[in-house]
Amino acid sequence: MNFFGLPARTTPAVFLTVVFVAAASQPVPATSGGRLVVAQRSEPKTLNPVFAIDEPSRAVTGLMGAPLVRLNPKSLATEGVLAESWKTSTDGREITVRLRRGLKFSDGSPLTAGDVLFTFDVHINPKTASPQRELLTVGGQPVQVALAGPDELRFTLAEPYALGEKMLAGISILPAKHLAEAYRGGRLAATWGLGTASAGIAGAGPFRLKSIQPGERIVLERNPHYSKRDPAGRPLPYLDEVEFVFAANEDAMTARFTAGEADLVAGFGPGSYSVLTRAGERMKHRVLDLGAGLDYTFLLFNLNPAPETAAAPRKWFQRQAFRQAISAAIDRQAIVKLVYRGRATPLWGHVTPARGHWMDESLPRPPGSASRSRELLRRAGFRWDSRGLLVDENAVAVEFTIVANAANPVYTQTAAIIEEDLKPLGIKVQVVPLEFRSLVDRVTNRRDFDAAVMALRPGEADPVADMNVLMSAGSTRLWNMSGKPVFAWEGEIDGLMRRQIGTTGAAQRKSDFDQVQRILAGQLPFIPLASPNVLVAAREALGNLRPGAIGHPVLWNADEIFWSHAGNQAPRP
Amino acid sequence: MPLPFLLGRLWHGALLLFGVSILSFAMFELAPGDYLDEMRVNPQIPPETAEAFRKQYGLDRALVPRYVHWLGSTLRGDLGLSFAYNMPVSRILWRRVGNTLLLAGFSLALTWLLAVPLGVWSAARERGWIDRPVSAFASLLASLPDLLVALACLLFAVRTGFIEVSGSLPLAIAAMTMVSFPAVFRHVRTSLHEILRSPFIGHLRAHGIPARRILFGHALPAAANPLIGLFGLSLASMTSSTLIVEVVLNWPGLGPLLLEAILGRDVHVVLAAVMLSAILLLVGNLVADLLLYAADPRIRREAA
Amino acid sequence: MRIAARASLIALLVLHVLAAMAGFVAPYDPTRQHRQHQWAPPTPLRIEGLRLVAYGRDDGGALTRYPVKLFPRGHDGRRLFGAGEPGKVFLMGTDGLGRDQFSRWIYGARTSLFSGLAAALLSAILGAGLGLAAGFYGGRADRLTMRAAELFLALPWMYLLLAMRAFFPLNADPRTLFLALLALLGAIGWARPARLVRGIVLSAKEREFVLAARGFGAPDSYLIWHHIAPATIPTLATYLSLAIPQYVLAEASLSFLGLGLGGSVPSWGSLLASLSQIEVLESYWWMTLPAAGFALVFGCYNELARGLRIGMPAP
Repeated sequence: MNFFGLPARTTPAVFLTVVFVAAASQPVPATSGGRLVVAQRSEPKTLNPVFAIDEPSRAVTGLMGAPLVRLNPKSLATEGVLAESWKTSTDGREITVRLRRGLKFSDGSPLTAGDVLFTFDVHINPKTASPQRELLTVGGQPVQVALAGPDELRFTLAEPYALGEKMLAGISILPAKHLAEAYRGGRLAATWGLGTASAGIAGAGPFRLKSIQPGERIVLERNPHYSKRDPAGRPLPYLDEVEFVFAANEDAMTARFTAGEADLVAGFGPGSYSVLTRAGERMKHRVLDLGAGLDYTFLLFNLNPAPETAAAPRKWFQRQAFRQAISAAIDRQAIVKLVYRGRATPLWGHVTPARGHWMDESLPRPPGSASRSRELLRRAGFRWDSRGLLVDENAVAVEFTIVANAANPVYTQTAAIIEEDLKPLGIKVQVVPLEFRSLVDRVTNRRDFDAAVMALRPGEADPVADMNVLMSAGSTRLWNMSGKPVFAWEGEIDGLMRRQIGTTGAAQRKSDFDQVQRILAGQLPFIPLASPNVLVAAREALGNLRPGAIGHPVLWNADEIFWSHAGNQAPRP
Repeated sequence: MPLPFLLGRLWHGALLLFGVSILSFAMFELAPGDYLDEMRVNPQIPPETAEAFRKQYGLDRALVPRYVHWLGSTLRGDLGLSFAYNMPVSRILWRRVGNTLLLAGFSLALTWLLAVPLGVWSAARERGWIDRPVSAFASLLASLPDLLVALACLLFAVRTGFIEVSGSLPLAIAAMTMVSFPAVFRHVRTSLHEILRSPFIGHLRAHGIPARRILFGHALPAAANPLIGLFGLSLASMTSSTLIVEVVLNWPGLGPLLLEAILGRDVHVVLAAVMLSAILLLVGNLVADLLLYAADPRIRREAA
Repeated sequence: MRIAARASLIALLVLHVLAAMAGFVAPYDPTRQHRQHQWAPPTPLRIEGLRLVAYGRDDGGALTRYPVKLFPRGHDGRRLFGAGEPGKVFLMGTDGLGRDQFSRWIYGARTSLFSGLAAALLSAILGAGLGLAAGFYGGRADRLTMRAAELFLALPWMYLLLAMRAFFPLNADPRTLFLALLALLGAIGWARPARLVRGIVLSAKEREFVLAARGFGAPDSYLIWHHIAPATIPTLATYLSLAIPQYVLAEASLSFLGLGLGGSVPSWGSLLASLSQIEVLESYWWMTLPAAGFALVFGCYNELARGLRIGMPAP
């Protein structure tokens, strides 16, 4: 990784990126005004920050609401938003937060400690079924929030908690005045949907709702009561308006950008990357490859304990050497080159480079090798018959199916590469493209599959995002959904994950999490394959863009983005 | 049309819709997974949240109560909630239906405005300088399936940059018109051609009536009946024929909505879209019959 | 029959034979990835003297000639043609994984053409049987069949396919799955031929010679087999020539929409699916070649149907 957080391998396009980012971070005089149009794949489902789980909803609510603190996606450090200062006690069980003075919601009403108390009450209440509740539960006890002074709040935890003040980062402060009644009436989930008149919605973020045209656009305008200022003392945000326009699919979304109808587009694939790059030669925009994001694709083995576990192919999957042999045979560079046209990062562990120091750099990264794979298989008791097919000790030919999401060619193609890589080993793989819901049903409910190519996206860089994915009690531990550890190493992972989340010592956490990554890389209940790079395209004249691979790659600092001069705005019909 | 006959048709249609709704509901139940399964592979969402949503959406109830509930609310005009859009289905549906009708209406009009004069001309001047190229073009188009026509339009737009590629109404209309043009053109040409050969036209010619008056005053009205039948048919199949074109060319009509809803298990949207296209089919057929009834005295007598 | 129709029939027969022998005609395994040849355009071929020569780049990147051989022997038997390794012959170029498009097209033809044929035949047989029975016996059976036909025509068949996929075992052979899908399509499609056949039967059974035969006391089975069923054959032939390409298209559309069943075994639908990406349309023109082949088959069937004297309004 170089200074800009970009992969060291710089293609010409990335080189342009570097120049651009460097130019943007120079002190260009910021100008206020203008409208930023963002093209998005789909419409938000809700404007209610409590229930905004899908990315489109988060992108919009993220601009309208503000948390006490936020994580800088580049440095992974905490920055104050509504909090002026915060302090975590040495035992990690108490966090004191001081609010800034004179805070207001976008409707002009004051934001007080009472609103903060209300917000956390909403999230902690099991009846709300807030997606954040789990993060706010420590040692089985919900966080206790109390007033510590007129502008001061104290969060008390039952046990030391590794996240500390970062646990507050995902939670937008809600206006109690507007929502208390719906909350008491049990109607909170249905409030602030897209049908709500804009007057009822208020937040403390840099922008507020101006208008909604269902299915077409959502326009946000500057929140005049936003409290942050730039170093020169000018009020933020710089932009007058942010407009989200919605397109039915990726091609339609990028087409809006190349047609000049949008200034910013993110979340597209490698195909669009080359289309946009070619268009960029004619137009004033840059296409950025920000390197690996948090997502990782992997080949999942079915290790669920079941009566039929004794039968092939799940019997083979139970053996560590077999899983290692499969992993050794897979050419990850080919996946990156052929499936992602180079716009991905090969993985040997599930922690991607975007997670910064949490990634264990010491994991071995062997290239795909059929001979090493053969050696592993031979030692594990497999043989080859006269036709060159791999057979186990009972002379049963080794073959299995890989299910993959039919709607996304990335997964079926990745599975096809694995199929081809295993062919020389005499292993017959059959790729079964399944429609996504059928696939999820098979993997999570019926647990009736051999292997699957899937992808997961952790919520953040911190290991806390992996609790659900790696621990026996986790709801997303896809290889074994029984809720219990079956293998010794599963119990070991449980212990390490539990220990790191209960410590505040950074070094201890790092070494525990490294250990978890080493166990996974050796045991391989799933084989990490690649992380698609985060790709973004933006107009050249946008200043202060500091794209990062976590969260919304560009809009996370929307309050600081500006048009470097109004003349450079793309003409709009 | 006599009232009892009309009432019979309506009653029959209602029964058909009932059957479609039951079958759709049952089949949807057989499809694996539900809308909330997507949350199961999102490590950021605890299962309790998904469970709460499932309860809120009523997906935890058994099939029959759910069907009865859906039927009751639909009959009251409430089509239920779209999970994917978190909005009443009606708010999404009407906009999409509007788009589909816009596309279908424009292309239907364009098809007929082009096909009828060209067909008449081709029939009147067989193997003339209009007939040859247009007939050849129609033959070519007729042998191309709608999927390929739509893809060809997309290719044209991408390669020339002439028309905006995504969600462009002119492009979609062009594709739809090309899909439906050959059938109408050939129909007009063939039926007019047959009539021009028939004895009564020969008599008219023998009486020295000018060719133009024979063509427009006698031959064309005689050829109208099968054309009216065809027009009714194309009205009826309007929504189903636009599906592929809409999906390929990104036109935000009913087709892409239905597809997306099926893949996303957005059950109320699927049911509403399916019922609506069944209704359009029935209405189209009825309109075709009514038009025929109005146009053809023989049918009027028969029905009476 | 017109000459064009005859030519079409011959072309279709040839294509079906080629498709049936896909393992011999295709120069490569359709799933084989030539990873060094991602998005390769069609290999330039030239006739030099009496030999056909393919041009390709060797590992060093230099342009090299490779003679194209007839009936070369590979490790899996003889092929129709091929270039000596490391030379490659990609008649239609390669896709993003470096798979030979021509081999995929010809294997796809095997899946698509034959399953289309099977599904159309099945729908015709089912439809003819039901239509005959309904038209001949009339009364309640007739009303019931025709109501059911209407219901089937108004049915959203897309879900059926979704639902069905859930019940298939994963390790079923993809071709079996494919035929099952087409069998299902055929079974849903009985309504249209049933209506057509019923119409013919209704008029045929009022013909004088049929009435006369009935008067002489001929049994129903005799009437059906000797007088009524033969009357439906021209209609069924025309129906088939129109329906087969429609079933091929149905499979293609489903795969295109992502509801198909095909895995690594290609079908025409999955070949067309990549054409919905702007990038492919913009940069890789040879990806449209399979579509041209698809159009050719449609044209032939269309011409054949015209030759058989179209008895039905165009769909």
